[in-house]
Amino acid sequence: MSAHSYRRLRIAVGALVLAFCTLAFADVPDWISAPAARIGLWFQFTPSLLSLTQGIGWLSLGCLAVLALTLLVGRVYCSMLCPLGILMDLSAWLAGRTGRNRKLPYKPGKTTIRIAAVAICTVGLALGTAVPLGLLDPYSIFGKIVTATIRPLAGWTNQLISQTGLTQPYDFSPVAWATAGVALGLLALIVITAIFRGRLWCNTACPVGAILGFFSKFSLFRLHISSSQCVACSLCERTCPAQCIDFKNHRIDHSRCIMCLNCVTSCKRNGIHLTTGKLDRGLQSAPTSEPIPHLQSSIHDPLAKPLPRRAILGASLAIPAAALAEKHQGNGPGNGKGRGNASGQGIGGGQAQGHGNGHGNGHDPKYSCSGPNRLTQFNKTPSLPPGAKSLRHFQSHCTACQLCVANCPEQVLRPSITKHGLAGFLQPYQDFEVSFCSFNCSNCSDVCPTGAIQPLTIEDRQHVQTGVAQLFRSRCVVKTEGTSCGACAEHCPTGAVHMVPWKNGLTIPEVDPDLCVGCGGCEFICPVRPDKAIIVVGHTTHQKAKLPELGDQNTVRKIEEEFPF
Amino acid sequence: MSDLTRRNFLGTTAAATATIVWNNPLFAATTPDPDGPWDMVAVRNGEADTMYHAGIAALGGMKSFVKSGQTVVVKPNIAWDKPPEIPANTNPDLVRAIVKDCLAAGAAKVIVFDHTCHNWQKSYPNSGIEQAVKDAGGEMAPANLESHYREVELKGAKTVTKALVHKHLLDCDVLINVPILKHHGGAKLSLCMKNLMGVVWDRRFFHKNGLDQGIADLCFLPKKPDLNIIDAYRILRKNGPQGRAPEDGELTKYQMIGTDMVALDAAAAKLFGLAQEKVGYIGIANQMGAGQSDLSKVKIKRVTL
Repeated sequence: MSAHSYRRLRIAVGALVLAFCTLAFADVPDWISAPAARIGLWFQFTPSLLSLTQGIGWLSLGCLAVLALTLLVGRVYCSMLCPLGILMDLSAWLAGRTGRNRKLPYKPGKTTIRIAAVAICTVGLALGTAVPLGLLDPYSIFGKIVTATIRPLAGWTNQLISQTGLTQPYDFSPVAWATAGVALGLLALIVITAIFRGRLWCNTACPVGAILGFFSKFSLFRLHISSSQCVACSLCERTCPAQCIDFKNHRIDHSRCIMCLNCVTSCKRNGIHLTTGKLDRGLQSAPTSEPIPHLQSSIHDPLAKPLPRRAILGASLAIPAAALAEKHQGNGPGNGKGRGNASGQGIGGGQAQGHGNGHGNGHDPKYSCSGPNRLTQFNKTPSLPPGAKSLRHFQSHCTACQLCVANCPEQVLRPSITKHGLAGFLQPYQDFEVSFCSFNCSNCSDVCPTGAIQPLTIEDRQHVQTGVAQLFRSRCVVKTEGTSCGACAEHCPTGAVHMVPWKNGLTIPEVDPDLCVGCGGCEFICPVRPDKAIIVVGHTTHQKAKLPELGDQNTVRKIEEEFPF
Repeated sequence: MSDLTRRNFLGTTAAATATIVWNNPLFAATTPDPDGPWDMVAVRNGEADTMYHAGIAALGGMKSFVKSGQTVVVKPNIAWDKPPEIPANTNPDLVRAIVKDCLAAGAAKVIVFDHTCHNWQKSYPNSGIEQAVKDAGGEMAPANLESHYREVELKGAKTVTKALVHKHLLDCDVLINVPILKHHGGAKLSLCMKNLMGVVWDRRFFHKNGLDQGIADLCFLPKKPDLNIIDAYRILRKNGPQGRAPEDGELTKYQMIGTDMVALDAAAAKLFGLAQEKVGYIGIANQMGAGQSDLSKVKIKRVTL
């Protein structure tokens, strides 16, 4: 394949990837199903690596394919498959079309920063949070940007068009402004660095760039500047977005080369070739090292400061190792770290306020029904998506890419700003102010590419208890106003919240916590303000809900002799 | 005395309707019922659609309610993402028959919607109603955005004096209310009046400010149902209004058709086996003069197929 046709292929594949990833996150009408999204994002490196550490089937083998590709021909992932990288190329290309020709001269590599980026992610994972990784990983950044910006725009546009009757108005969750702020900040950073410094981000802050960069140094095929052809015109150096070509010394820093082949097409003398490493070395040992005389003064030699191989290899193995280590710790007895919370004790715990019914009003004794310590929808433990298993598992695997947020048909999943704390920044929680979790849906677990939300069938989902409803009768409108309500019981899919006879022919809710799946329907619809009378307190470790035995037949009424009225 | 008493009003209306029906050549096709007109027709022991055909015939056919070129809104209960085996939503066969009949009577457009409790994009298809309406030639309208609603006053209402009501309902010529008879944890039963909560945007207001009074207030919507059809083919006996499993349902094979929501709700309560007084909103609506809950004063035609 000629370099020109490779370039066309790169642009075509890149455009497809960019379009697919954008659509996957901005997909308001749900054109892309959860399995389709998983398949389309198969080769996204970080999520695939994280799910590989949990052994989630063939869907997690994408990262190995990318590694194999890198060992064969270098960082093709970065030039073709990384949505953020393509976004950078697009921004730089658009900026270039404004007329100003920005040169990108050779710069030495920033190895320390690259190692630091991997180290930060690794330390985060080892400490049990994937948040640093999520803020540096290109796929996750891209997801955050599209979900917080293009998705709401798509939603508003759809609702405007729907007024003409041409399309249905699709629901989308209210814009999370803080998330949008973070996403826009990242977007600005990415676009500006792309315009002025090309792929600087990819070769400094990007942990995937660092890991693949390590392997690309050993790839079978590498670019090589042929000294016999080179007339030191510097065209290749100027077009290299990675700023990794040192034309004066005929050197290419292969750990930073993203395989865009711009240099190959720029060379008027066909002096840059993709050759096997062996040939490469052979050529390099040949008279090539005779630098062009008038350039001898320039001393910078990238290989004089080689990438510390051991450090990078260690760092690149560290991410999966940290994820694995975290997993093993998670299975240990130390579960439910750090976040002193009520969920475990919630079931059948202390009686809320001593009214007569047997169960269901238990909650953490450190909270009371009223007073300054009262438990409300604002200070309770947030609920994790079903399939998240535990806060520990979830926080150490979720890179907050927002794909589940975009794919939640109920729009109950929203990125946390403070709900999960710093260690869960932008990781989703179930926001029962907006909506509630469907009993007949497991989309988030089907779509999650990192395995932070483990795959569940709908049947499995109906057994998972993500939290448990807690009722405060003293706030309930039946008690305070003496009027009928029952909105909570109405929304309960399992009958965990049900109405029992009370005074004056009224009925009042009661909770059977064993049946509760924590869907939040009751909390969502409860009309009492400011503090709702029924709230769902999230579990830090998900429990199993009891499934009542239900018949599959209607009873049949015998037609009476007379009409009953 | 020319007081506009309930009885007077009902009598005059019935007489006027009868005269119109009698003399109108449009209705020549339907065999006139010598004992009519009826306030309510109760049909039993048939399929949902056959019971409907029998019932509407006794009221003079759909043509006595829908005129050529009119826009009709059919408002079933589509609140829940449940299959037809769990009677949480109105029977799709009944909805299909009604929509077809409206179009046959000359309706220009038949619109079906509900402000659902579950995700509307699941409730509409999974209830079987979306397909039924499409088959019959009607259209499903969304009701998931606040912009679909318009604020109106409910003159005569007590707590729900103002509400955001779906535009299609306010703008239609004919409103046909098609609830399903269901157990309801809070309101005891879900019937004609309760079904109209699905045309209002803010449901929580009802629950917060006295559910029974709020439901009764719905009799004072600016657009009142021209016809009510209670689907009691398969009713929800327990765990209502959502139902957990098919075992919560009962195959009852009844249907009540009429113009008076209060009378129909009273009859349905009796069919369910619940004393009328236990269903708060029926008594309140009766007291407010929205209809007649004393079934001895309602002229009911009873048909067993």
